[in-house]
Amino acid sequence: MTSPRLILGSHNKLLEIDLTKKAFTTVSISNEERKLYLGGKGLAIYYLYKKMDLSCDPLGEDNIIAIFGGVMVGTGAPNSSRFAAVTKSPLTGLIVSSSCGGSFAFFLKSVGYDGVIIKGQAKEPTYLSITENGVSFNSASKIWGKDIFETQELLEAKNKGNLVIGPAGENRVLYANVASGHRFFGRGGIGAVFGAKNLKAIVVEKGSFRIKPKKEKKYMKIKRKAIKYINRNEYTSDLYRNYGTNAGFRICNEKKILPVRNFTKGMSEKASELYGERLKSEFYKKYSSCRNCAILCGHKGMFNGKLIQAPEYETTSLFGSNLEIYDAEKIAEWNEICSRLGLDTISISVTLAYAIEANEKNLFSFPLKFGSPEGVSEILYDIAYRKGIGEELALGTKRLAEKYGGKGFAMNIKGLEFSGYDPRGCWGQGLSYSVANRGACHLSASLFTLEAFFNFLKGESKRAKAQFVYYMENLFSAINSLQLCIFTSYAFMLEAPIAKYPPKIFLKIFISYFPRITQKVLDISIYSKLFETVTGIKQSSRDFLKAGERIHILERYMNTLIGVSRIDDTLPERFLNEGRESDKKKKVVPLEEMQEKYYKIRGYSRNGVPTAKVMKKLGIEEGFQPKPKRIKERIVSLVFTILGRAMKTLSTIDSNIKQEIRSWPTNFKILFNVDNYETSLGLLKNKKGVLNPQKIPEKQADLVITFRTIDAAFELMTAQKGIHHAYASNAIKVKGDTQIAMSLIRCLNITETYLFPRIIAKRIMRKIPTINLMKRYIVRIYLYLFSIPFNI
Amino acid sequence: MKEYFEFQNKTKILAGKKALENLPSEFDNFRVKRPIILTDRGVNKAGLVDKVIKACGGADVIFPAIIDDIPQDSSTEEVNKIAEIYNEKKCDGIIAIGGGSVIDTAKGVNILVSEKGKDLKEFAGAERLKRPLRPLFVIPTTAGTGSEVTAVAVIKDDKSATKMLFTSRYLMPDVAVIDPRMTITLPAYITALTAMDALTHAIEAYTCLQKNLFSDVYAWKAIELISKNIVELVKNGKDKERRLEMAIAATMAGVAFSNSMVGLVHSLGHAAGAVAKIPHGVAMNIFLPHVLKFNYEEIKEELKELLLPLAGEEIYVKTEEKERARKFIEKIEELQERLNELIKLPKTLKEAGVKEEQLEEIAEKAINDGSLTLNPKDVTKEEALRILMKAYE
Repeated sequence: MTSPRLILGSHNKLLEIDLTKKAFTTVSISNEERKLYLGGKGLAIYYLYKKMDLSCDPLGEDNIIAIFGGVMVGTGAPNSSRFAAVTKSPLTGLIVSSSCGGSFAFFLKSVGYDGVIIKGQAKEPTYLSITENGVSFNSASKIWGKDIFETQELLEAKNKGNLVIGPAGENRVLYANVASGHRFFGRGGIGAVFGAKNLKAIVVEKGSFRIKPKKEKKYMKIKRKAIKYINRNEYTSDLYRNYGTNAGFRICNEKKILPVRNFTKGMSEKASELYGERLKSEFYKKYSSCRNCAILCGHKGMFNGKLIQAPEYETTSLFGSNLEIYDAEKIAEWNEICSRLGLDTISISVTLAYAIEANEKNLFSFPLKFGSPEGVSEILYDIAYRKGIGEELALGTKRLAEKYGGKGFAMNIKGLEFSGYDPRGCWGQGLSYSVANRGACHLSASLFTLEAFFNFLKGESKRAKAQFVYYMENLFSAINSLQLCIFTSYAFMLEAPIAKYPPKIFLKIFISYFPRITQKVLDISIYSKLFETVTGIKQSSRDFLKAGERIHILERYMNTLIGVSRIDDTLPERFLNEGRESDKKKKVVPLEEMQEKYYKIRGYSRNGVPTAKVMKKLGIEEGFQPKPKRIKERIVSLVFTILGRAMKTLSTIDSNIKQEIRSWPTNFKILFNVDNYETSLGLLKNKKGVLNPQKIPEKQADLVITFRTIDAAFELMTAQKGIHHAYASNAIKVKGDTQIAMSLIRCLNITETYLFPRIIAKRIMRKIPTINLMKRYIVRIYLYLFSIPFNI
Repeated sequence: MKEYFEFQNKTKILAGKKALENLPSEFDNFRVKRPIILTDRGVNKAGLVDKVIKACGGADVIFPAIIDDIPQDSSTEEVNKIAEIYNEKKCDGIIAIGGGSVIDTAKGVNILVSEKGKDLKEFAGAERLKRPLRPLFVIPTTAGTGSEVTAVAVIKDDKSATKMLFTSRYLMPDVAVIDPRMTITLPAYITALTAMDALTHAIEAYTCLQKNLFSDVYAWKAIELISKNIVELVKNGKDKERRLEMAIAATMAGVAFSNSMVGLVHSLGHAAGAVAKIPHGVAMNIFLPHVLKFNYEEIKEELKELLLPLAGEEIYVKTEEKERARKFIEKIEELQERLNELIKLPKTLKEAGVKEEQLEEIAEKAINDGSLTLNPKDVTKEEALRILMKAYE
């Protein structure tokens, strides 16, 4: 090896590998791109946006895997070895990004690259070796079929950077993962994308490149501060360091957000068997963390007489309490099997829970039972090798529920299975799950930490949730692009003087009642300063958060181009409708309201698509976008209000309307809305038979009358056109019972007869309902003087 | 009675007042989020693109690019250039706002970006496309070509300077928007010549060999609407009602001829266009009566019927049955006369600037034109030349 080659700041070089052509080339990143997208997840997403056909088949040749490290890799900063993989997920069909703490990126940087881009598809099983001299494409025939640890051994990967898939990835299990050492790209089936490309592994030899931060002195100062904060924060220096992520087990059980029996109960009396405190005292033997870790949450333990990696919280909760199995040694054994086979422990265990419940409900024949460990190990192998029933379980909960039913308890969003926090006890986490880019992911904003761990926000409350989901998503996207471990945020944010020294109650009040101000004063400058001192590119905390926002929005935008919209931003029925045994009040997640607020803060349209305005503001791209017709919308909105109030009054005094309404079921919900616009009129028939105007979410309405354009709504609402004209010109769509719709039209005609002079009524109605002249005038005066202005 | 025939029109037609305002819901239907807009300078300057964008207010779409420099003749160079922009800007659909050349360019771009091809020539000819293309929304600003519903595109190959013909059912646009606001500013001359183009489409569709009962209905109504509105519109272009009817008629004629094809008028027109550069509509106007006379024996039954939509009930009834076909041709000649008076629309090749020595070459080209296949009567070069001589002065 020659003398070390120095990289001053960031190297800005990527290695692009084409498996089809067996070729590789170097791609450069500009400083501008570096500043806007940082690195790691951000740059990888940006790269895919530019280069990938978003409509590609995730398991086809056109899918691209971008594996990028950040500028921190190789600097020796705490928790700096992390790197990200971004690709199109076979499980969700959307963009998936995943973060891993193995040593791959460190070695990659030592040969002079910030990231690799994998394109095309190899004809034969292949593994890649990367050195300073380039890439060699090697036959993987001897390691194909071997499990992850065997493969690492055969490739002598211990002191090399490596990425390896197991049999699950080879067999394209939709939630197969990729290992780097004993750390993983866990979620979204990146292993299956490797498998589909016939790519078994990538190994990187140690090279001679070395990183020197541009402003080294300042960098050293920040680094020391970072370590100091980590070593004094309660979570990073005590709870996580001692008990691992399982420190959360006790907290989640106490806060009733533990997944128990496929998320039907929020707590369990047996939960203490799996508390981190118990695991530490009985099993943990030594730390086994990510490279460069200063927190040390990973542990190895002695389970069944073997020293193996201890399971993380998600694994213990979802294989444990969620299947009602409270046997730590069994769970550790399954965790080890999953690691060898290359299965995501979250998706697999949630899929098992679905299958068990579906069997109980006679939807699906499945031999496993809640509370019984019998058969679990065997089924893991069946899934990885896609044998027997494993063939179908390899597809995940969403596809199973589409085929067999039970969507309400198939615990996934957008196809990605839930992680271990029941949102009925932490509503902000519920919001976060519903809008997270990759699906039911707990790491998009981790609101549960603010709600249950730190007690800054009340779990069962809507207050400040939208604002903090927005903030944390931006922050985490930025951290995942810098890239450091997101757990560092506990220390860096909370140990900064502004958060550490004021009494906790102050912080709590500020976070809850003045969220936007709090977000402005919270100190996250360690991150931006690390970036700035390493790269020499100027960056303020605000720039850093804005980069996070940019990355998050671009990822969302890519997903909307693939097809995601508001209807996909939801929670399984279980969380929206079913109360839990552990709750006296049987609370469910009031998603709609939080979501509406969140959309506004994010700059999404009513359908959940980032607007051109927000894209431009963030510097993603410029494009022409037609301006919404706000004046027409306001007028329509006003008439909706008038109509609602008039109908409420008339439903108590007009005998014809009363008669019509009598035939509708109680609690019948009617919604008038306009495609692409926010304005709507909801009417609820209450127990007394009165029509009450109120907000009704579209999902809950029994009868929806949608105007296809705001112009059509405007014409109808300003009495330029009648409802039958509108219907004839395809301007309205009716969803629901047509008989009630007809009855409703009669009610509308009667209402309009009261509201409008005869000359207008004549124009818009084929036949004007007969109402006594006196009555018409008296009621009209009453409506305009009292009902409409004062809602009485 | 024909033993077997086929008829297809997959294009969804949004027509009438405020038709443009319904585009956003079609974007939703086709899941289009980033359509590219293709148009020409004239259309853009007339403010028509702004009208379309404004009408889409509130839609979840971003228009990443507006290309407004499409020339009169669609060409491969232009198509390649736009396809590159389309890919670079990650567009996912095409909106064509304009006349025949814009629409044909859009179809060419759609072939390249959907088939991920590099060279348009690979796809030239009949039925070379194998799968559905990207969503194509067409907003015609002339009422003539009918290209908004046809399965055809004509694009010039810059290298060989020849016109390439593309036919495939996949070329049919997905949505056509017929909105009177889009044709209201069309000058009288263009109004007349595009209308004559549409009228020729309808008459040839009704009289040529591939005619069928479905295309007949479209052709019939198109003839009626064109005849009713053409002269009035040339006199007063601001009449929205008539503009809409004319635009609908042109689209109907498009549906008709897209299914039953055209004949000799078009063969001569294509040839005259290629040799003497005379505009397509002008050529249609000149050749139509001459070809009807040439084909007379084979098509007189059809012409008899068509007198009703062309001339109206009164004339139809007053004209003796055996005289109706002649009357039809007479009426066409009257119309030609009228347009010549009003706006000097040429009725002879000479007036259109064709030189006598070019006739030979036009005749040669015409008898090799594909559209001759379905003309009810076969044509020799001598016969073609004879028609051209008659049309000359």
